[in-house]
Amino acid sequence: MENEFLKNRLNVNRRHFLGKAAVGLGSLGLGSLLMPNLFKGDSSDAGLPLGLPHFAPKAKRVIYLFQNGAPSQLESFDYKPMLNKLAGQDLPESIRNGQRLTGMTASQTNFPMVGSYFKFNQHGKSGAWISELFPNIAKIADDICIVKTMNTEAINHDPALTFLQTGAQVGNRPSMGAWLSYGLGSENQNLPAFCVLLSRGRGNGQGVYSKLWTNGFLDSTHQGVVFSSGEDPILYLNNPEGTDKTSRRRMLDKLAELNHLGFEDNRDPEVEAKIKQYEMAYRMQTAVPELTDLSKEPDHIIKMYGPDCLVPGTYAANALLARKLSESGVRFVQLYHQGWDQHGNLTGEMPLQAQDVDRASAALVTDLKQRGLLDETLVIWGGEFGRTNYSQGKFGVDNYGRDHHPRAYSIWMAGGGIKGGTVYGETDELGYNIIKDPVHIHDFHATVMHTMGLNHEQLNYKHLGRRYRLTDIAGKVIPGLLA
Amino acid sequence: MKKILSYSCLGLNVLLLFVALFENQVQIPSWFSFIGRVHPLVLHLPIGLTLALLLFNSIKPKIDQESFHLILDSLLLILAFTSVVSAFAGIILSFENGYDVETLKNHKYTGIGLSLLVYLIYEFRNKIFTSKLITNLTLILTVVAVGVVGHLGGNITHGEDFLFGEKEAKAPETTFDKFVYPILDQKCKSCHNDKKTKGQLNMSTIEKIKKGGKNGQLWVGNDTLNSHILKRAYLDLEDKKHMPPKGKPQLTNQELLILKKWIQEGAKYDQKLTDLKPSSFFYSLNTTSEVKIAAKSYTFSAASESTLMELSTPFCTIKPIANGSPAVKVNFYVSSKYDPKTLNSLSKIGEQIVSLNLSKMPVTDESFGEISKFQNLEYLNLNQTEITGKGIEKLKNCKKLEVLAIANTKITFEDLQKIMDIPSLKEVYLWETKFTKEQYESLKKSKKRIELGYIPDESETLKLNPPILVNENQILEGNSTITLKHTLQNVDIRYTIDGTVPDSTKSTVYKSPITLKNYGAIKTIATKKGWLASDIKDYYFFKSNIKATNAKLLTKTNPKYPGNGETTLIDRKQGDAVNFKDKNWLGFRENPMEALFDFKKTSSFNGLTISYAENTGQYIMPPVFVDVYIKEAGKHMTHFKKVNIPQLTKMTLNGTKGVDIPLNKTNIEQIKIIIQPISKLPAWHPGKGDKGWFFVDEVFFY
Repeated sequence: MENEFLKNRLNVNRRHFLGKAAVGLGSLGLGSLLMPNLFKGDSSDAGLPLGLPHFAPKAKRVIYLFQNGAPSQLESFDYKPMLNKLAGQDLPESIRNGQRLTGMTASQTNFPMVGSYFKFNQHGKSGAWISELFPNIAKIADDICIVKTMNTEAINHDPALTFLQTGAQVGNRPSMGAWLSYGLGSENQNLPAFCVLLSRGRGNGQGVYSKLWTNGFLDSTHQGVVFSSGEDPILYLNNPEGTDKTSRRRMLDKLAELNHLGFEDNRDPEVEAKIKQYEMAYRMQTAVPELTDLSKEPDHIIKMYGPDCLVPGTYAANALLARKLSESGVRFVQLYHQGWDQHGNLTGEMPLQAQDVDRASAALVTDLKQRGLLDETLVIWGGEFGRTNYSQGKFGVDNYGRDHHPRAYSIWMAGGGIKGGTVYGETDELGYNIIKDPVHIHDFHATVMHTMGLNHEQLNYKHLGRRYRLTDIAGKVIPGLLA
Repeated sequence: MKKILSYSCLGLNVLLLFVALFENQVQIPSWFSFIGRVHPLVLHLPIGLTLALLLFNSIKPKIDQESFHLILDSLLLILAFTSVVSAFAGIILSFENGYDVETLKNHKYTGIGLSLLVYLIYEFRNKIFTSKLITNLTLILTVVAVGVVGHLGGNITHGEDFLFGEKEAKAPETTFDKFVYPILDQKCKSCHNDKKTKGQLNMSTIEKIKKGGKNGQLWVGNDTLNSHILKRAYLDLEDKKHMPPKGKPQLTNQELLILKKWIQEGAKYDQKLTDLKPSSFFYSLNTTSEVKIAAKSYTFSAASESTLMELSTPFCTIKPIANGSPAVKVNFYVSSKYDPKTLNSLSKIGEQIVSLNLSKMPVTDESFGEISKFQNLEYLNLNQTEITGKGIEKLKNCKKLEVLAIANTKITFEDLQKIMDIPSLKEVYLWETKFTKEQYESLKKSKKRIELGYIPDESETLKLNPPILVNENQILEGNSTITLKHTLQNVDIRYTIDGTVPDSTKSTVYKSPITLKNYGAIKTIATKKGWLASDIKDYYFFKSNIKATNAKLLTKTNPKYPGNGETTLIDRKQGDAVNFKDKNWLGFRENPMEALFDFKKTSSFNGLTISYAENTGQYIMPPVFVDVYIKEAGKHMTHFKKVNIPQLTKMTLNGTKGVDIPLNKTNIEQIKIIIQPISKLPAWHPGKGDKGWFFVDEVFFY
C-alpha cells in the first residue's frame, strides 16, 4: 500500500515536472515576444541598469561653461614669469620636441617666446596664481580647482572640440550631456535633460555645430536642446495663434489615443516615447515661463552677474539662465562662449573676452553656493586646448598672438565632489610640457562621470557590433581632483 | 582482462627499457608525439593509486582475506599499468626539444625505475603482502619513489623554485621589473626557464631575457613591428606559432598594451619608475591610486518600487539616490503645479527620504509638521518658499539633518535660533534673509558652516552694458529708422552721428528713433546714476534706397569663397565678419574685384557703400583703393573717381565696415567698380608680407 502511494507520488512529480517545464518555457517564449529586446544584445546587457547612478554621486548636475576657441592658459591660470624673462628668444627645439604645428605657424622660421602682458597675483588659501584679467574668478579661488595639465590629441578646433565633447575626434558619437542623460535620466520631467546655450564674445571666434550636442547613436531624447538667444528661449513652445490651452489639451489627448492605438498595433516603443515627448512639451509650456521669471529674486542678482545678464544671448544672461535650469533639475547645461581664438591681437581681444565671462562665471559659482546647490552641481570652465608659449607672427611684448597648443592647458572646476581651493598638476617653466600629473581628455571624462556616480567603464551602448562609451577604451578617474 | 593488462605491463616495461637504452638511435614518428602529450594527464593516476594503496592497506584487518587479495591484485595491476604508461608517455615527450638535460635525466631514470618497481611489486605481491614488515617497507619505498619522481617532474614544468622559491621582497624600481617582468613571469616562464627552455628562450633572469632565443631577441626598442614577442602574440590563436600556445593562459589586452608601450618607449631595462616623464604611458600607470567611493550605508529597508512609482508625478520626482540604495531623494518642480497634499502622502516613504528639495514651491510653515516625520532626512532645501519659521523647531525630530537651505525666505532670526542646536546640522544657507548685521555676526560664531552668499558691496560701482540696437540688421531701406534700448530701468542713452565720441553728460539723449541720410556710424553710450557709463558702442548703418537690377562679376572670386554667386552682392543680406565662410561673403585675394551693376530709372543717385569685412586675425583687411566708373543714360561709361582707403595701423576687432562714395548724379544706368585687395600685409601684422584678403558681402546704393 505504501509503495503504491510512493509510486503515485513519483508519477505525479514526473507529470508535474513536465507540465511545469512546458509552462515555464512557454512563458519565457511569451515573455520574449512581449519584450523584443529580451534576448538581444542591447545596451544594458553589459552595463548596470540605466536611469540611476551606479553609486551615490557627489554631483547631480553639470554646468559646463565652455570657452570656445581656446583661451590662453598663459594669460589666465598658468603663470610663467620665465617667459617674460626669455621674451623674444627662440623656443628650444628640445622643448618643442617634435610637436606638430598648425598650418598657421608651420611656415614660421622662428618661434619667439612671449610672456603674459597681463599681471598675475596669488589668490585664496591655495595661493593660486590668477591673471588680472579675471578679478572675480580670483575672488572664488577657494571654491575652484584649477587643473593646469589638461592635454588633448587634436590641434585644430573642430576635432579638438568634438573630442572634448564626445570623446572621439570624428563626429557622430554622443556628447557628454547625451551620455549623462542616457545614464542618469532626467531629474525634472518638465524640461529637457540636456540644454545648450550659445553666446559670442568680441574676439576672433570659431563656430559651434549641432554635432557637439548630438545624441549620436543614442535615443534622440538625449539630444541637447539649444535655447534661442531671443526673447523666447525655446522656440515653438507657445501655442499657435488662435489655439487656447483647452483645445491644445484636447488635441493632445486625442493624439495620444491615436498613438496608443498605433502602439497596440505595432508595439513600437518609439510610439510610447513620442507620446511622452508630447506630454513633456505640454508641461514645458508651464515650466519654462517660471524659469525665466526673475521677479521673486532680489534686484542685486543683476549686480551679481553684471548688467549684461538682462540682455538675452549674452554670456552673463546664459550663466544666469544656466543656474536657473540647473536649479530646476536639468542634468547637463552646456554653455558655449565664442571668441577665444587669439592668433593675433591677443592683448586687445583677451581683456574683452575676459570681461564678458569673468563676473558671470564667478557669480554662477557664488550663486549656486549661496543656495546650497554647489555641493551637488559640478561647474566646469575651460576650452578645447591651450595656446603656444611663442608668438604667432611678429613678436611684440604688447602685441602678439598665440597658436594652438594641445600639450598642456588650464581649466577650472568647482563644486560637485571636486576638491576646491586647489591647483592640480604642473607644467614646465616655459609652460610647454607637463611635468607632473597630466589629465588627458579621457581622464577628465572619467572623472566627471565619477562625480556623477557613474563608472565610466560600465555606461556603454552597443552599436554597430561593439560597445561604445564616452571614454572609449581609455580614461582613468583622477583621485587628486576629488574631494 | 587481468591477463591482458599484466602482459601489456610487461611488454611496455620492456619497450620502455629498450627506448631508454637506445634513445640516441630511436626515431620517434611525429604522430607518436600524441602519446607524449598525455603524460601530464596520466602521471597523476599512479600518484592517486599509491595513496589508495596506502589507505586500503590500513583497513586490511577489517576485510576478509579473500576480498583483500582480490582488490589488492587489481589495485597493484592498475598501478603498475598506469605507471608504465605514464613513464612511456614521458619518455616520448622527452624527445621534444626545450628541456634542461640534467633535470630531465633525473626525472626520466627515476620514472623508469618507479615503473619497474611497481611492476615487480605486482609480480611478487604474494610474497610481499604476507609479511607485515615487508609490506610496510615496500609501501614506504613506493611512496618515497612516487614523491621523488613527482617532485623532479614538477621542477621541469614549474621551475625549480616553484615549491620553496623565495618571493622577492624588494619593491620593483624599474618599469621592466614592475610592469613587464610580471607578465613574462606569469605567462611565458613556465615554458621558457632553466629547466624547460623551449625555442632556446629562457626568461628566468634579465640577462637571459636580453639574450633572446633561437629566433633572436625578444624585442627591438621603438620598433613594435619587428619585435618578435609581439609578432608571436598577435598571430592568430590557431596559428602554431602563436604565443602563448593555445590552451595556455593568454595575454590580456592590458598586458599586450603594456608590452607594446614598453617597446614603443625604447624597451629600456634601466628606466627607473622615479624618472618617468608624464608623457610616458607608465607614468600614469605607476601613479594611479585607488579611487575610493565613500558611500553611506543605510540600515533601513527600501520602499517598494510600486510605492515609488505611485507617488511620483512629473512635478514630484522620487528616485533612489543610487542603484541599490534604499535611500530616496524627492524633488519638487513647477510651483504652479504644487499640490500641498503630496507632502502628506510622502509619509509612506517617510523612513527612506534622505533629501527633500522644495525650493520655489509655495510651501508654508504648516509643512514643517509633515517634513519632521522624515526621520532620516539629511538635506532639506526650502529656498524661496513662503516659510517664516513658525514651527521650525519640529525639525528637531530629524535627527540626521545635515544641510538646511533657507535662502531668500522670510525666516525670522528668533525661529532660526530654535534649530541651530540640532547636533547633526552642519551647513545652513542664509543668503537673502532679512537679518541685521549683528544677527549675522552672531550666527557666524556658530561652529556650523553658515553661508551668507553675495551681499552687494555698496561701494562697488559697476559699468553699465552698452545700449542695445533693436533693429534686426544694419541696413536702412527707404525711411526706416534706428531704434535703441537698454534693459535696465532709468538709463539714459546718449549718441552722436557725426563720428565724434559721445560724451556721457553732453551728447544728445536718445528719445525717439533716429534717421540717417547716408552710410555712417552711430556712436552710443549708456549712463545711469550710481553706475559707471558704459563702453561706447558703434553701430554702422548702410543706407539702401536703390536696388540694382543686375550684378555681374568681371573677375573671379577666390574659388574657396564664391558666396552665392554674383547676386550675393545685391541681395540686401549681410554676412558676419567672424563667420567669413558664410555664403554671404565673396572673398578676393591677389586679383582685384571688378563688378558691373545695372539700374533702371534712377532719378537721383546719391552714392554707394561697399560693405566689407574686417577680421585682421584671419588676414581679412580693408581694400587698398576703390575705382568707380559710371554710365549715365545716353552717355558712355566714364571714370568717376578713385578712392584710396586709409589702411589699418594695428590689429582691430572683427566687424563689418563700409566704404562710402557719394555720387550725387541722376539717370545712372550702369556702375563699374574695381576694388584692389592688399597685396602685402603691413609690418605690424603677424603675417607681414603675406597676401591679404578682401571680403565683400554687399554693395549698397542710395
